[in-house]
Amino acid sequence: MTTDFSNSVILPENLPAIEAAEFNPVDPKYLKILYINHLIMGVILGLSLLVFFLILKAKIPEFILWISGGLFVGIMVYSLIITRLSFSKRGYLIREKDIAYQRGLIRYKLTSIPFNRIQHVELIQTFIAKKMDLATIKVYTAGSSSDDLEIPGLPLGIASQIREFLTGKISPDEKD
Amino acid sequence: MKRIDFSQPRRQSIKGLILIFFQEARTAIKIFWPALVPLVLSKNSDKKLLILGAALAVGLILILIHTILYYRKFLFRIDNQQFILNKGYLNRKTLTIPIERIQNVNTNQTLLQQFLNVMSVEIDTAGSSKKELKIVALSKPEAIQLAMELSRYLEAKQTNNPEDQEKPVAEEKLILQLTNRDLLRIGISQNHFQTAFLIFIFGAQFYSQVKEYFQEKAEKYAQEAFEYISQSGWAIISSLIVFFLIISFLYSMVRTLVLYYDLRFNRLNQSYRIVSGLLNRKNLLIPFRKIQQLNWETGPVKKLFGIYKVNILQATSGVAVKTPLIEVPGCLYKHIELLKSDLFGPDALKDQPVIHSSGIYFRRTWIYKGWLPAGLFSPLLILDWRYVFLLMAWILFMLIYSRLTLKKSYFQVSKDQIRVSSGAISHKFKQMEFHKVQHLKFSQSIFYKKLGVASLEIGNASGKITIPFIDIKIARDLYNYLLWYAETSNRFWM
Repeated sequence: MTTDFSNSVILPENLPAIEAAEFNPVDPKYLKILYINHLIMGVILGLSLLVFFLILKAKIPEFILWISGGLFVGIMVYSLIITRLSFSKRGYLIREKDIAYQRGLIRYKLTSIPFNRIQHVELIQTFIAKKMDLATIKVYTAGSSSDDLEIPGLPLGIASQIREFLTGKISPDEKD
Repeated sequence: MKRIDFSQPRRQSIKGLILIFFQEARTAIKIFWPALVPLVLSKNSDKKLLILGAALAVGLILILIHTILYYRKFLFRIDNQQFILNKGYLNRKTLTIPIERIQNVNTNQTLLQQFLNVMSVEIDTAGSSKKELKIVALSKPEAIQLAMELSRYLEAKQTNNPEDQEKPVAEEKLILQLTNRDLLRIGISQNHFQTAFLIFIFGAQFYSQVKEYFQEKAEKYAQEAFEYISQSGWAIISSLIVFFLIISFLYSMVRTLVLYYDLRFNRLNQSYRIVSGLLNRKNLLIPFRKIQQLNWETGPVKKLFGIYKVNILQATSGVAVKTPLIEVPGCLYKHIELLKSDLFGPDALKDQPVIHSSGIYFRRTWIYKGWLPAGLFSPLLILDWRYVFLLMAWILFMLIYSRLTLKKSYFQVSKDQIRVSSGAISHKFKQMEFHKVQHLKFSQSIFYKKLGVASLEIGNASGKITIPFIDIKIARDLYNYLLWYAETSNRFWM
């Protein structure tokens, strides 16, 4: 493969490109978890909003209460719809040398980590996920822990397979 | 200097007892002071004194015993290419660190340590937390020798040449030393608006905390102050701004002096050594190979003096521990040239085309930082219509700001490295090599899909570099290329 990259940004034609279509979808059951998370979030936010209003009821004109209430409901409904619509965008891809995850409708994001940069792999099951036999795979690289790859909503069997596979792929310690 | 044999288990300097004692006493006070408060405040005075004295005496004796046991059981040695640390008397703990895993070795001297003439040695690995691997009190020669011993492997390992392992550590060469005049310039060229804002926020927080204790009084004063401010209006606000600017200027000066006093930037064979600080003298050794990224920036005032602030980024260690930023302010352009040629070889980027961010970046910055905040503050207009001037001024300022942001948002790539420019008022550069790439992130908002722009984030072990709003084709190609590069490169990346 040529690496004639220096004179222009045009790259060698045969560079392996990530195609969005090749991605594997996450488990449809995961959508339920997203809904439940949404509900919990909504209830917490709604209750705190309510408490806030009850305290300040006397001081705030009524129309502001209505506007904020409407806004809250509007935002909740909107994000619920977005969650549903963007669900099909979620997907992961394991290639010969790297792992990738994509998500997002309004803001599409694609993250890749080469196998030889993985420090360790984690399999996590939240309480709800456990009930549905789902799991999350977390891939860590060295240094900062915030930008690692996370694939939620995998069937447990596949998740543990991925973990085994990735753990096997992690390069042995630096040799030099 | 007598050579110390580190293969035998060694204790810290006996003066370490004092340091450990103070450390542990401080921790104990931090934990137990709330328990003492009711006792101190209680009325019964003659009994109180007795109980208080007894509690203090028992506490001190316990801490003393703890200190002695801790000191006696704290042993370290270098054995078979491993640094081994034993500690703890109730729970024995052995930490074994292969020397090749060590990221860097730093020595440090706080004021108390300077007084006792001892140094602490911190060993930094990419994984464990830093506090674990700290020896607080070694005599100066011993600390230096230990640091040398441990970092010699670092030096030799880099060159990838077994013959070099035998070579002694090379002479240090002084690259840059900050004089007091440099410090003055650095202090002046700090971002005083930012500091003033931080001090203001800090002050407000402090005020709200204090308020809880002195609620009534504070409310009364606050009321008065508020009335005063609202009556005299703009004059008082502008004098407040001036006040905070002066405070922040003084703060910057003191901070610059404390952090960078007599900063010496040395170059060894394959690493840098930075020694700096007034009260707390820090000594950092940074092997070239461990450096992930080089950042440098200049601002309007810095430009006047012709100075740059340089940050050398290394792999961040541990989860909760924040690696101190290695900062060298007051560099001249020639120093940056030197750093670049040390770390990245001859400048391959010089003749590469400059690729700018799309004009959409300007629009988005203006909307997000100009119109949106102005919109959020628009209810102020109900209070007084004259706020419209303030909001307009903000939007206009942000127009210029966003223009500058776009103008400075560009990058250059060669086949193995990238340099990204950013900033608005200041001008920042970030440069890294492609074999350091750890993760890649491509992101695109649905609103910009038709316009064909996307953003790219290139991650390394020290953080990430973002290239906002570039042509989608370029973003995709770079993504694929960098991924391929990281996967096929067999150079050491961290």
